[in-house]
Amino acid sequence: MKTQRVRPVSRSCFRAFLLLLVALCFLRLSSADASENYIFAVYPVHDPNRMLTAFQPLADFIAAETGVPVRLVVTGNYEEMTRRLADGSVHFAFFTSSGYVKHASSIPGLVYLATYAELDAKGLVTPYYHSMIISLEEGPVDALADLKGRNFGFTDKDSTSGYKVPLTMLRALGMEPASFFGKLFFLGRHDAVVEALRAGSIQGGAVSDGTLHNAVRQYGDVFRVLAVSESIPLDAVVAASGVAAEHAEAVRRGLASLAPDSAPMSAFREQFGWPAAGFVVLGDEFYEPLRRALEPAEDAGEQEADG
Amino acid sequence: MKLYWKILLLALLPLLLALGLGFFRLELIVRFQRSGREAADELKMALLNSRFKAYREDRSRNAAVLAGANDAVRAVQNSDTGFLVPWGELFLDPLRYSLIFFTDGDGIVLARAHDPYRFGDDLSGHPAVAAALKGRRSVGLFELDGEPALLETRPVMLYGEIQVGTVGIGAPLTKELLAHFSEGTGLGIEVEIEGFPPISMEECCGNTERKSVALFPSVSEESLKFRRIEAVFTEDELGADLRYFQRNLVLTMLLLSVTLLSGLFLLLRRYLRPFSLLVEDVTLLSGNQEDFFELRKRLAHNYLDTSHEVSVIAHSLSRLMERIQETITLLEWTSRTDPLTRISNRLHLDSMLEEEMKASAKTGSPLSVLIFDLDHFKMVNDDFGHQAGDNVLRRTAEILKSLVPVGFVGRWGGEEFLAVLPGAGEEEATEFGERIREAVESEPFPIGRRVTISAGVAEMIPGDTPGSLVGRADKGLYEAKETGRNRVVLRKA
Repeated sequence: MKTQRVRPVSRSCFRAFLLLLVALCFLRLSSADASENYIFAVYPVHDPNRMLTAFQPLADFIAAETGVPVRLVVTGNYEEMTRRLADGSVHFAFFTSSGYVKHASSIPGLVYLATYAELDAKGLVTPYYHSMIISLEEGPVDALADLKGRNFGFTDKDSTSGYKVPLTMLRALGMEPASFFGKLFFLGRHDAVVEALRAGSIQGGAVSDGTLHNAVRQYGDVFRVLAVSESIPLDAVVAASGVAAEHAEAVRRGLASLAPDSAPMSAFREQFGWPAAGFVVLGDEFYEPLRRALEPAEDAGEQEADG
Repeated sequence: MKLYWKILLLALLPLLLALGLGFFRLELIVRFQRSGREAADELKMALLNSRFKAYREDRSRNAAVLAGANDAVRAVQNSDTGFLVPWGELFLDPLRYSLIFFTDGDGIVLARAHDPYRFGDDLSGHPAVAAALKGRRSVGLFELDGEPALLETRPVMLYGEIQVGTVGIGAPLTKELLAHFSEGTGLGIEVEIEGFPPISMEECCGNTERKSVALFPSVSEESLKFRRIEAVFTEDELGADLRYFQRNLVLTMLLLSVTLLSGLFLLLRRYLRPFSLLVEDVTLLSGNQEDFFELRKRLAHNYLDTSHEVSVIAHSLSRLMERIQETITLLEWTSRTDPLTRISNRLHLDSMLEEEMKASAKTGSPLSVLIFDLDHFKMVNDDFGHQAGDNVLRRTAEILKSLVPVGFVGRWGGEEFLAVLPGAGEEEATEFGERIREAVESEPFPIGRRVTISAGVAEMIPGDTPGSLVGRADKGLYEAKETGRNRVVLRKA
C-alpha cells in the first residue's frame, strides 16, 4: 500500500514536474525576446533613414511603457513584416491601414492596439482621412468624365489613398482606369502627383487629403477636387501574439494618452509633415468598412499591376 | 668712296654677321620648341579621342544597365514613374549624362530622371526613340528639347524578348560638355551641326590650328550629321612668347641697327668729313684748280671752330701757305720795283703799260703817258756825289708817286721816270706834267741847288703800241730838252 501510494505520488510529481518544465519552456520561449528587447517594425513608406528617425521616439515610448528595451527595424515590404510578426521576430508594428486590412487577418494572434490620429483642417483629432481625385483649377478638366483619354497619376500600388481607394471609387463609377484614361502613371509619392499635375504631365491624380492640404498651403488654391472617398482609417499599431498581455495593454493605454506635443508626434510632424495628434483605440472593427471596400479593388489592382 | 663710308661698312659687316648668327640661333630654338609642341599636340589629340571613346563605351554600359535591370523593366512595363525617376537619377551626371528618360512601348515618356515631373509626352516620332521602338540601338547626335544632344537609345526588353519600352541616355552638346572632354588638354573644341549655331568652347580662335576629331566615328543613320568637329589648338604660351620674342627681337634689332648705323654714319660724317674736305681742298690745290689765296683763306676760316685734329692740319697748312704767299708777294714786289726809288721798275712799267693800253683800246677811254727826265742830273752826281744823286732820284719818285692822280709811275731808266695816266687826255696829262715840273722845281733838295725836270707828253691814238706811244712822249721830252729844259712838251701824233 505504501509503495502503491508512493508510486502515484511520484508519478504525479513527475507529471507535475514535466508540466512545470513545459510551462517554463513555454514561458521562456514566449518572453525570451521580451526579457531582452522588443522589435518594433515599420514599413518604408519614406526613406528608411527618415523612417528610423521619425519612429525612434515612438519606439522609445513603447520601451518606457513596457520596461523592455525596444529596437526599431524597417522591413523591406509588408510580406516581411507579416512573416516576422507571425514567427515572433517582430513584436510591435506600425501598419498602414491598407496593409493592416490586407495582412492582419493572416497573422495568428495579432492584437490591435490603437489607430493613429491626425488633426484635420478644422483642428479636430481624427483617426481617418480621405482620398481625393484632383485636377488643376485652370486646366481643361472640370469633372471626372473630362479625364477620359487623359494622363492620370496614382502614387503606387501599395498606397491606400493614392491607389487602392481611388481605384475602387473609379470602378464604382464605371470607369476602368486602364481603358478610361489615356495613360496611367505610378509616381511613387503623393507630392509627386501634385508636382506632375502642375507640370502638365498628367491632367488628373489621386492623393490623400493631407497632401492636398499641404499643396494648397504651398501653391494656393489652384486645384480642383473631382472626387472624395469615404473616410479611410489611419494607420494601426499592432502587437504580435508573443507580447505579454500586460505589455500590450500598457502600450495601448500609453498610446491613447499620447498628446499632440509629445515626442513621438513631434517627430512625425518634423520628419513627414504629418499633422500628428496621437492615437485612439477604436478596435479592429473600425477597419471593417475599408476591408470590405478594398477586397474587390485589390483583386482588380493586382490584375492592373500585372498588366 | 668717302672715308666715313668705308669705316661705316667696316663696322657694319661684323654687326650684320652677329645679328645673322643670333637670328639663326633663335630660329633653331623656335623650331625645336615647335616640334616639341607638335608632339604634345599629338598626345592631346590621342587623349581627346580616348576620352570620346571612353565616354561612348561608358554611356553604352550605363544604357545597358538602365534598360536591363529587372526592376526597371518591370517599372517600364507598369508605367512606374516613381521607380524610374530615382533609378535614372542614380546614373545622372551633371555634364556627361544629364538626359535620361524612359518611354513605354508606344514612345510615351514614362520618366525623365533629369526632369522628374515632366513626362507623358509622345517621343515616338523622335528618330532615336523610333529606332529603339523598332528594337534597334541608336547612337548619335539628335535634337532633343530643341537643342542638339549626344544620345543613345535602346529597347527595354522583358525577359530579353518582349519589348516594353525604350531608354535614352545622353547629354546636350554644350560648350560645357566640350570643355569637360578637353579638360586639362589645353585644346578647344568646335562643333558645327546643320541647323544649329556653331558650338565652341573657346570665344577666341584667332591664330590657331584646327584638326578634325572623331566624336562619333560611327553614328546611326537617323542621327544628325556633324558638319564639322574640330579640335582647336590654342597657341601655347611658350611658343607664342618665343615667336613674339623673335618678332620683337627682329624688329628691335632692325631698329637698333638702323639707329646705330645712322648714328654711326652721322658721327663718322661729323668727325671724318673735315678730313674728306681737306683732302678735296688739297687735291684741288695740287691740281691747280683752286686759287691759292682763296684756298688759304678757306683753310684758315673753315676749320677755325672745330677742335678736330684736321683743324690742326688745316691751320698748319694755312700758315704754310701764308708764308709761301708772303714769299711770293715779296718776290713779285721785288721783280717789279726799282730798288732805289721803290716805285715800279722798267719791267713792271712795260707790262702795266701794255695792259692799260689794251684796256683803253677796249673801252675807248683816253690814255696818256709822260716821260720825265731830271735836267743836268749828271752834274748833280758829279758835284754832289752819287749818294746825293740817289737822294734826288728817291725824292723825285716820291713827288711823282704822291701827285699822280690815276695810274702809276715808275723808273724808266737812269734819271728818267714814266707816268701812265689811264682816262687822261693830252691836256690833262700836260697839266699833270706841269704840276710835277713845278713841284720838282720848288722842292728844296738837300743839295742846296734847284733841280728841274723836263717831260714829254703823248696821248694814245688808235694803232699805238707801247713803243710808238712812249716814242712820241720821248720825242716830246727831247723837244723839251732842246728848247731850254724845265719844260713839258706835248707831242701830238
